[in-house]
Amino acid sequence: MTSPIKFEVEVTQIIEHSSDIFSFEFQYVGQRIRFKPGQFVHLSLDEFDYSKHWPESRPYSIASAPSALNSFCITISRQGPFTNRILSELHCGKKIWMKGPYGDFVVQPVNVTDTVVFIAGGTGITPFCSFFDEIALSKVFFSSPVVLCYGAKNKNLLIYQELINKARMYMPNFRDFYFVEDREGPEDRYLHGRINIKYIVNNLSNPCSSTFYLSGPREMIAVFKSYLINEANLPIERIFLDEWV
Amino acid sequence: MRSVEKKKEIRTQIMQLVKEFYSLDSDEGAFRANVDWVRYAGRVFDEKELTSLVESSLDFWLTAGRFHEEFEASLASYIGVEKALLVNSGSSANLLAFAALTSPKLKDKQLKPGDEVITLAAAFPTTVNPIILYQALPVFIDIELGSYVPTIDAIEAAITSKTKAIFMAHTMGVPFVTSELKALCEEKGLWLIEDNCDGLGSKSEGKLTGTFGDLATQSFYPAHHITMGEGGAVLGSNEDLIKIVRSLRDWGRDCYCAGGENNTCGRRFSQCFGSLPYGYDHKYVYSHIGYNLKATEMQAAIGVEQLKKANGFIHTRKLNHDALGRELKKYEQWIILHSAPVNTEPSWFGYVITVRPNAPFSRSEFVNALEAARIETRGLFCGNLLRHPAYENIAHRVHGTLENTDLITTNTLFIGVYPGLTSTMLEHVYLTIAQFMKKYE
Repeated sequence: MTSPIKFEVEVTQIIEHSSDIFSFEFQYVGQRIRFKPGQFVHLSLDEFDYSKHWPESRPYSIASAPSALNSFCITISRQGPFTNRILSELHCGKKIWMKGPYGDFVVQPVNVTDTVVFIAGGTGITPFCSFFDEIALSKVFFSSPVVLCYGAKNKNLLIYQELINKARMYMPNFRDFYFVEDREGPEDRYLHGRINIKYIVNNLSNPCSSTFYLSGPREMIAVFKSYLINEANLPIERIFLDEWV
Repeated sequence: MRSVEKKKEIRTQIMQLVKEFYSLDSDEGAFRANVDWVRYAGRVFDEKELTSLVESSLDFWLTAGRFHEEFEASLASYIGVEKALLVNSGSSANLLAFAALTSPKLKDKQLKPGDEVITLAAAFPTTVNPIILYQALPVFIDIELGSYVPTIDAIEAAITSKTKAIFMAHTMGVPFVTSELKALCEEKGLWLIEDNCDGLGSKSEGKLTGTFGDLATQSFYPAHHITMGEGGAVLGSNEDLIKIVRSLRDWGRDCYCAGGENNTCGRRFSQCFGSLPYGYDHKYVYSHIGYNLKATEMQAAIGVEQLKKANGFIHTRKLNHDALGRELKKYEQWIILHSAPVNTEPSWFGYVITVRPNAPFSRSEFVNALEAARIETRGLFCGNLLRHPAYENIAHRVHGTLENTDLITTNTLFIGVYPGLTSTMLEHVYLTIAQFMKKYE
């Protein structure tokens, strides 16, 4: 929970997951931030001068480990004019300004025995990547049960699989479910269709002592939140949201 | 030359001129005993504070900006807490820290009217005022002579089933807090607020004060260890409490955008609050009945440089206090020397002297002698707060007696130990006291 600051970074790597989804790695130029998995930063493409207003920016979840001292990653999907600018203007070596960290979408189980349920729609996986990356980097076992439910249009858009597999080695009670809308042929690994919240809840041993973290499109979050509260009778304190507009 | 480069060049020239200006201003001549005042406190600064202030002026950002960011981060790191929120005074910091405990967001831990809060009558008023203003019941306990803070036993003895918080100051930098007190508060579910306004750099059991309580406060008024003119801070590591403090500081709003910024949360027009229509501008949604107690960027700019000097200031205060103690020890039969509980290392705010009841002179006589020699003195703040006109009719409870608190009201003074005192000034203080005491030997 450190103070948000404005800081300059340089693009050091660009990974293309698809024509519309890219990950960017940044190195700090000056001050670095301390953040918690699940928090986000604002990214601006314009010049920043402390004597002027903060330029136009958008929020993006940090996708890398807090322990990675000199760099961090964000993942962006093409949504509109601003993301179009990002994808066309950011190149290796480019310096930009950011501010942050912000947000309270931070994994904090009510009890250590509680199940932590991550529900990620599309690039909603990114806040959870910070959590997984931290586990993989620190190699510290996370003993609380973790359930990941990740959905995308097709299997190629289920990004960060390698990271998840690295992290699972340190999560002895980890389970994952993958939903793809366009499933090519019978693949047991993937469930067909969009993320099914009822299916997830029915596959939990004790939903009422689970904490849910929902990250993805606003519509998905609204429907899932309503189900969890009204149908699964979960208290609101056990539901954390990272919804995009 | 582009205007951006030209501005940089002019800025550099201005800073150089500021440094030259300071070098002329700082040559004030040697101290003249009995002519120049030996102040009890004051600003100690050099050209760095001036250039930082001018830098901020040239930015002309005015509200929270880069200096705020730097100061808050540096102060939190210095003290060893997660977060520091800059406000416009230590009194405002105390108000916010206490007000936060009354937030409905704390649910069953919320402080309500009538709840008891253990505090001191031997206090600065704005430590106690928030308790009164929020209609909690202040429970006053006595202090120990010499340290001017209560014992843990005295605090514990005052706890009842109605007690919900302990809120008091490290008076003159002397810590009242220990891990034992913190454990007691945790055991009994009590909030603990440390008014650390006098105690930047003080330690208890090797740990800085300001790190024990659920919240702590600092003051940056010129009399204090570091200054920004007017200024203060609320410190804490409890994220929920800090969010509440920030909201209360910033008009009571739910939004956490910095000044001049919008839509930091990304959901400015897409949330629902209370019975407001969906998408009501989050910048104007209020979750608390709050204030505007923010500081300006110029204050933060001064604070950034002052904080870098804090360790040196604290060290000099300790040296000056120790030296005064050695000089005053010979008069211990007539005065109570300033002391501290075991396992504490105060960052002294001043040197407190209590004239013993059986002394052949009164406090007034002693003070008059010092003031006549142009040595500034102060009473120990309120003495007994309950004797002041404003507090005569407040609802309160006294646990035990306030015998020592009453004694300090009539018999106690303090003199300065701040780092602006030169050795010549201190020699003048020793000499003046020696001359005064000689009459009674």
